[in-house]
Amino acid sequence: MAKTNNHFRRRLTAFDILLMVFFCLLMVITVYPFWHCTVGSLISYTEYMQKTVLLWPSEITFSSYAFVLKQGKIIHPMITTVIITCMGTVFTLFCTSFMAYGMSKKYPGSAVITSVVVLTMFIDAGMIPRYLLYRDLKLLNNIWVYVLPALVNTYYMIILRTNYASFPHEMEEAARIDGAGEYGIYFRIVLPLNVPALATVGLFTAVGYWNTYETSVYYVTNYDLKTLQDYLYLMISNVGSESNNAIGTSGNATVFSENIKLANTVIAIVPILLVYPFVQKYFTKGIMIGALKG
Amino acid sequence: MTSVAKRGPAKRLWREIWRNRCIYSFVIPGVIFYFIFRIYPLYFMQIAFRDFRVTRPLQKCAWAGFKYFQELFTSVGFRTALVNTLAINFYKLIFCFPAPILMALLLNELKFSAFKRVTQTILYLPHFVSWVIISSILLNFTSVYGGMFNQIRALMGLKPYTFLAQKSLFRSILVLSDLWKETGYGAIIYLAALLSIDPQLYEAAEIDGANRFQRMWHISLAGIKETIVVMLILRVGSMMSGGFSQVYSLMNSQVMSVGDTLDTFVYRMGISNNRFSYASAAGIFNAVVAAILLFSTDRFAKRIGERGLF
Repeated sequence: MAKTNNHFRRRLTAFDILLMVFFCLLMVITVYPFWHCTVGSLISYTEYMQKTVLLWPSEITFSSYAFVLKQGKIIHPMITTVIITCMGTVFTLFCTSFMAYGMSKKYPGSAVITSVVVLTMFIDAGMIPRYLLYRDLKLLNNIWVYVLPALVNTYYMIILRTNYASFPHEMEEAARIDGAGEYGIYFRIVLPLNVPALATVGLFTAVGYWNTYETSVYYVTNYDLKTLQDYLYLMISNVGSESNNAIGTSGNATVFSENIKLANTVIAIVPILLVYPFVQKYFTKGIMIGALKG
Repeated sequence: MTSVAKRGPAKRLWREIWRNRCIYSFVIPGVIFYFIFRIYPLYFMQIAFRDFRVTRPLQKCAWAGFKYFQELFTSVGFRTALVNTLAINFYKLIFCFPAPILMALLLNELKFSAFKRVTQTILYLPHFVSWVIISSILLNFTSVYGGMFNQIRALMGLKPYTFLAQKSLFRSILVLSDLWKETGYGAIIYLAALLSIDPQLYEAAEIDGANRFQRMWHISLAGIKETIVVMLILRVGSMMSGGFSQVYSLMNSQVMSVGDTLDTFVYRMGISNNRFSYASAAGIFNAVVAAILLFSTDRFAKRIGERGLF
C-alpha cells in the first residue's frame, strides 16, 4: 500500500528526515507555552517555584482557580465577554450575511456601493475620530460599543458575497417561478445551502469577539464592562516592575503570584482551544483566503 | 421634446430600481451602517485643525490651522514614536515577512500528508490567541520570580535578568513573538497559491535533472511570486501601523523610548491625556503616510511588471 506511483514518495532522503525533525521542533516550541500555562495553573506555588520546565504536574490542585473565582475580579469581564461573544456573533453573522446577499446581485448603483465598501478597508478615520463619534452616540462605556461598530465585517462580507454569487442561479429561478419572494429565497434556500460558509464565518467572528481587546482599552473605562483580555492585561501589567511576587498588596494594586496569573491566562484561552478543532477544519478548503482577491 | 427624451432613461432607471426594491432592502441597512461607522468618523478628523474642547460641540471649536501639526513635528515624543514605528516595522518586514513564505515552501516539501496536516493545525494555533495572552506567557517565562528563563540562567550560575525591561532587547522580543504567533498562519495564503501550481511542472523539472532545491526555487517560489508581491504591497502599506495590542501589552516604562509607537502615542495623548486635537493630528499624519506608502508600492510593483493590487 505504501508503494504509490507518485514519484515524490519514492524514497525518503536525509533532507526529508531533517525537515520532519525541524517541524517537530517547531511544534514543540508552539505547543509548550500553552502546556506550560496549563500545568503551571494546576500545581501549587511551591511546586511551581521548584520546577523549571513544567512537563507534568506531580500533584494537581485547583487552588489557583479557586482563588481567582473567590477574588471575583474576573466575574464581570467574563460575563461581558460571554455576552458580547454570543450576542455579537449572532448579530454580526446575520447582518454581514444579509448585506452580502444583496451585494451578490446586480442592480443600479451596485458598483458604487461595492467600491465604497472596499475603500473603507483602506481608509480608516482612526482612533480619536471614532472616539468622538462613539461619544456622540453614547457608546462610550456601553456594552454595545463592542457589537454595533462590528455589525458588518467587510472581509467576511466579501467572502460570503463570493459564495452567494457562485450559487446556482437555476435554483433561485425555480423558486421564483414557484412564487417565492427574495426573502423566501434567502431564508429558505440560500442560507440553508450555505451553512458551511456561514459556520466558518461564525466561528472566526466568535473568536474575534472573544479576543476583543483594543475596543475595551480605547473606549471603555468602566471596569465592569471591560473584556476578559483587557482584564488579563490589567492584571499582568500590575506587576510590570516585578517588585513583589507574593499574594498581597503593594500600594493600591493587588499583586498576584505567577500561578494565579497562569490560571487567569488559561481561563482566557480555553474557549479558543475548545472551538479550534472546528475552526481548523475549514482551513484546507481555502474558503477564508482566495475570496479577497476575487 | 427634450424633457421626454430626458425622462426616458430616468424612467427606465426608476423602473429598474423599483424592480430591485427587495434587493435594496438587503443592502440599504448595510449602507447605513457603513455610512455611520466607517464614513461619518472621517468628518471628525477635522478636529486636528481645530482647538477641540471636550465640553463644546465640534462646530463651536475655533479653527487652529496647522498649529497641532507644528507642535507634533517639533515634539520629541512624536519623533521617537515615528522612528520606533518605522524601525519595528522595518525589522518585521525583514524577518516576519519572508518567514511564512519559507515555512510554506518547507511545508510543501513534507512527504506524509497526515504529518503535514497535524503540523499545519498546530502551527496555525497561536494566531487565534490574543496578544495579551502571549504577553502574559512571556511575562511568566521571563519573570524574575520563578520564570523559566531566569531559572535556566540560575542553573548556569547567572544572575536573574529582566528581559522585558531591557531597551536593547525590546524590539527583538517584538519581532520574535510576532514570528512565533503569525508565521504559521501567514503560510496559509502561500500554501493555497502553491496548490494551484501544476504538478506536471515538478515532474518535468525532475526529468530534466533539476534537484529539489532547484525545483523549490524555480517552480514553487516562481509560482507564488504574484501572491508574494500582493502581500508585500499590503505589508509595506501597513508600515505605519504599530500593532497596538502587541506593543501596548508588552510595553513598560523602562522600554518606552524604544517601544512607543504611533498607535500607543496617539492613544496616550488622545484618550489618556485628553489632547484630542493633538493626537488626531498624529493620527492623520499616520494615515496619510500609510496611504502614500500603499499606493507608491503598488505603483512600483506595476512599474517592475507585476500585477499589483488596484
